[in-house]
Amino acid sequence: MPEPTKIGVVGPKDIYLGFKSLGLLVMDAHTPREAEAAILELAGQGAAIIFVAEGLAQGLLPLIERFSRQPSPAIVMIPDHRGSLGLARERLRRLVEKAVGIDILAEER
Amino acid sequence: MAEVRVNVTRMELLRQKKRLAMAQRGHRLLKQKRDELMHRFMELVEESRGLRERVEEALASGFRSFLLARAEMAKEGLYEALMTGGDSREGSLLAVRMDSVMNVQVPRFALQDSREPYAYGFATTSAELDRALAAFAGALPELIKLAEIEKAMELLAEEIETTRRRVNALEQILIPQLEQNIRFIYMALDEMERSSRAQLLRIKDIIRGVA
Repeated sequence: MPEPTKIGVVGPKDIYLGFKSLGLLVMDAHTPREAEAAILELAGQGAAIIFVAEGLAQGLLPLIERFSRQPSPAIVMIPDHRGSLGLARERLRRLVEKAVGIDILAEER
Repeated sequence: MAEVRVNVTRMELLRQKKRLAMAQRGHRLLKQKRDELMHRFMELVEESRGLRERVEEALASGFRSFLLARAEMAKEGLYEALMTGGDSREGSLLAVRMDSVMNVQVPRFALQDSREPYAYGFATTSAELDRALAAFAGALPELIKLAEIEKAMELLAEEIETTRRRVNALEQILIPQLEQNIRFIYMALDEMERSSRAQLLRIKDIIRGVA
């Protein structure tokens, strides 16, 4: 595996096209299955950061969880044009719960 | 509590006491480690919340401009303009180095060079597209920062969980068990001493009776 120095974007065309011209690696995906394959592919190509459209990430939580234990790549959910689904916030809440042992952000939901 | 199974000897008592001291020291250290990790983690949580809000806002406006551009231009023209750009140097955008937070290895990302995103002819594209790309380009550094912070949070959360488990295991299981072992040996040794003393008294009486 090459030294991970790339950035990848996984999602539908409208999401990634804007990033393509910035030099990011982009992968077309419309279903969680496609997104999973795309993420694995990008990880193999040496992507240190992979941005995933939030709408697709919903079905990918086990994969994301698996990657979250290793130092690379970092998988980050980004909202699509429909705006944030709150999935990233939910994930943050889970992390805090895991670390603290109790859900201290609960009242702000 | 499980059945105590230790040898009732002074050697064993010393050994158990040493283990207890060690366990207590480990417990104290791990607890400090856990508290410090937690401290760092909560700082990251605070930071990430503000950052994510800003990033999502920036991306949303980028996507809005992008959709407007798509509406203004012919779809094919837009896709063509963007698909051709960027491919030239799909190489190292990032400099990654590992940093150690309380001995947890976390990656730090730095954008190596940002490039001119407008790799298309201006004649056939709309101004809205430029705006969208500018928004994306502007959001990229913060997106990368967000990736760094979220990754650090994931790794720290993992470490905190293990540390917490260890602290609990020492506190709830190992230390009480050692304490009980020590109590048990003390009691058993005392009991042996009493019984041998009683034997001695009895023998003394017998000898005296004979004499």
